[in-house]
Amino acid sequence: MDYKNTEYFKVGRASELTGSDKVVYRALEIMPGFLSWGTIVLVVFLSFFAPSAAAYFIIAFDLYWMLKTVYLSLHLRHNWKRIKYNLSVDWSEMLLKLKHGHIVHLIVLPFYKEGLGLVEQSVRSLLETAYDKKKMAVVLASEERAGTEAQAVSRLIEQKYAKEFGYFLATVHPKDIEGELAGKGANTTSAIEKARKIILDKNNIPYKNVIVSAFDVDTVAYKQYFSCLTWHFLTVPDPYKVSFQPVPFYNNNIWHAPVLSRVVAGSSTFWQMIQQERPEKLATFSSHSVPFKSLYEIGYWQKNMVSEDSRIFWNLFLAHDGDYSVLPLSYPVSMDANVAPSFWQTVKNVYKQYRRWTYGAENLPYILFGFIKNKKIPFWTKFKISVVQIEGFWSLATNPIIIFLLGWLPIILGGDKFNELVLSYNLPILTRNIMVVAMLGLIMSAVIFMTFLPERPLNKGRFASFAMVLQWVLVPFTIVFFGAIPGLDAQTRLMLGKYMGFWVTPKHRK
Amino acid sequence: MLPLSRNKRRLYLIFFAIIFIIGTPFFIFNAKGYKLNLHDFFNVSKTGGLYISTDQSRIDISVNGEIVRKTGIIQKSIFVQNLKPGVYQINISKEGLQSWNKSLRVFPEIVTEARPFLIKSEPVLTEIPRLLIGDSSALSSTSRNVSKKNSEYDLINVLFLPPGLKSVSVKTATTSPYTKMLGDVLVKNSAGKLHVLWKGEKDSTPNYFCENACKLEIIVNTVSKVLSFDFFPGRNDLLILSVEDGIFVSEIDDRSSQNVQKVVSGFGYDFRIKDGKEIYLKKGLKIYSVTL
Repeated sequence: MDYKNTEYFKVGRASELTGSDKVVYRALEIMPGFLSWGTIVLVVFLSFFAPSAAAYFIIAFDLYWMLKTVYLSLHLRHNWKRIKYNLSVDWSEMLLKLKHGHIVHLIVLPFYKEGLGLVEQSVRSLLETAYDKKKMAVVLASEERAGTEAQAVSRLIEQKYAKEFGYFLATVHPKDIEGELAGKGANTTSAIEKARKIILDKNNIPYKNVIVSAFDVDTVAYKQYFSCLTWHFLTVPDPYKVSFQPVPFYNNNIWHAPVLSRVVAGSSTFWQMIQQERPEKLATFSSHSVPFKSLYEIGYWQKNMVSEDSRIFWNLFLAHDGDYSVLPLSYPVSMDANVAPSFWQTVKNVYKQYRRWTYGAENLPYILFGFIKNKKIPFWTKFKISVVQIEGFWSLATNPIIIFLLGWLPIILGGDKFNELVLSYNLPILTRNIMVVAMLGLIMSAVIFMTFLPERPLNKGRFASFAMVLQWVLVPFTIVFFGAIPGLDAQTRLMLGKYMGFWVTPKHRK
Repeated sequence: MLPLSRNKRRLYLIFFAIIFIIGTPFFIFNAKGYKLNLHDFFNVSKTGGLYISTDQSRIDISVNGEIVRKTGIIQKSIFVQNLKPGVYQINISKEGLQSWNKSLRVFPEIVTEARPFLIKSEPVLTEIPRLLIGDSSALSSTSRNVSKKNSEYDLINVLFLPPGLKSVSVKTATTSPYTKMLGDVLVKNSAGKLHVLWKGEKDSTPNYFCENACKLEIIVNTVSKVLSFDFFPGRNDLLILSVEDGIFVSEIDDRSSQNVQKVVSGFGYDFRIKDGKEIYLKKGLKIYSVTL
């Protein structure tokens, strides 16, 4: 039996399984939190009972982290060049060399309570792209639970823009459907199935010619996005075994976002840029594109979990017995940085957004469980991916805490005997020096960030530009409080079985 | 433009892995005090360090006659490392202050700590007058000077009264001719000789009790008999002593000869410490507050 036809193909959590499957899945849900907390407890324990051993571990860890930072920054730098190159290429002209008239882009824009202005900007950005609009099918997917205002936004957009595109469909996702977790996955899946029947089937559009772009509603497509995407779709050896990942720039409102939000948003972009150079470690994230045929074969996005954007990749990966990958486009789409009416609300929202993103740890039990069940995937593939994924979630939640908070613990807990050692005196000096070297990479971050900034608004002075450079000194703080801690929070919830719901990031524009 | 090739990435990875494999033991041994002597056939030797903590800025700290650092406004302590095991002569000096000298033994992988003290070459003695002179013109038509008792003097003077004669309740009368304890440091005056004992946990024994091994008792060496003593304000490793010919501050640390610095020399002085902070001297009927 194909893996996609098994009862656990679209499992959301352990409670949906029975018997030994449930026990195994639950153990795998516990694993990420257990590993992260285990590491932190181990460092505290060692600092108290074996401070010298803890100091050795911290020194080794500091060096590992510094080298990892340099290693990753080489990827970042290369991707920066690649994005600049890809932005300079005329993909529409490149497409002229290929037969592409049959390709239809189905763009799904699921939204909740976002305002007219924000939705309109995204729809308008589609119109401003270089791709033939008659080959675009736009699906505006609202939620019934968002109330009549959301549907009014949908109607207004439809009235104003429907005729501009080849196809346009406004859908309403009914509320309170049993077995669904209220969130983007359920809405997108419901909308795309309606689009299949109403747009594709009625117009006899072959599924194999359709590329779905599942966009967050604040996504602004750059001019050549669909041309670039189509070119890659047409040139990749097996396009139905590939998802396409653009680079998310959180730029739409960056000049109006508070400093913490800017740093966190920029760091997210950098991480995605790094991953673009390591496609074997890349899963789809946020706004992405997938061949419709591949999606249809597996029944679209899962409706019973939070991280549907990355889960869809793992669904496809397992369904194709490991023969499925993400093709990094190294071409940007831009979205909103987190902005709330007040600074503290922004801080809260940034934290909650990161907690939701890092709740992607719920994919780890799904992947590992799938590896146990799907015997067709080669062992070496399973092994490599398991190591990468486990290390990824573990390092996300622990590394910044070990580096910036626990590095000094042996000195605090190690007792007087340890504090007499040269090792004890050198530990903070060495840690500080390694950190300083690692932080030099922030200069590169600042340079890259500046090159992708939209033009400074007239009401912003030069100091605003200066602040965009200076802000990177906050990275040691943001990496802990808006990276590791929400990550640990999310993993702890998963570990304790206190499953998270889909928290919709409120989108405010100043 | 192509993404980073697998080969290039693998090369980076191998390069950084090699650095990690070589670097980790190097950094660990370096942090422990192991030094590679390039001029001595790559011989590896164990070193130790000195940690000198002061509470003042712009102090010259010399090790074996060489100034190694001047303390700053923020960094008032220094850590000197890569010292071969052996005895080092430490000198701490600043213009206008009495200098502090100590010979300290440095052990491999261990940091030898010292906490010097520096008091003014000429401490400032400010007399507290017994009587305050006031102007009575407000009360009578002719202006004349009127003397009245200085309450501050009276308050301090009470500290100098023998215990049985004190009629005013004073927060602390801190001196005693016999025993005194601060934290876990107990000092006993036995026939004019001070014996200092550590009463706390063995693991927490202050560094000045330990050199090769920790001892239980330190004797404070003085030329003449100690008449009275107390802990120096804010320190449990320093004592202020009254001897026949003056008032002095001595450290307890006897890892080499104890540093003794003069507060005032001369006969007939006594001292008291008020509230664990302020030092007062008395000679005859005169009382002075002291700035060190």
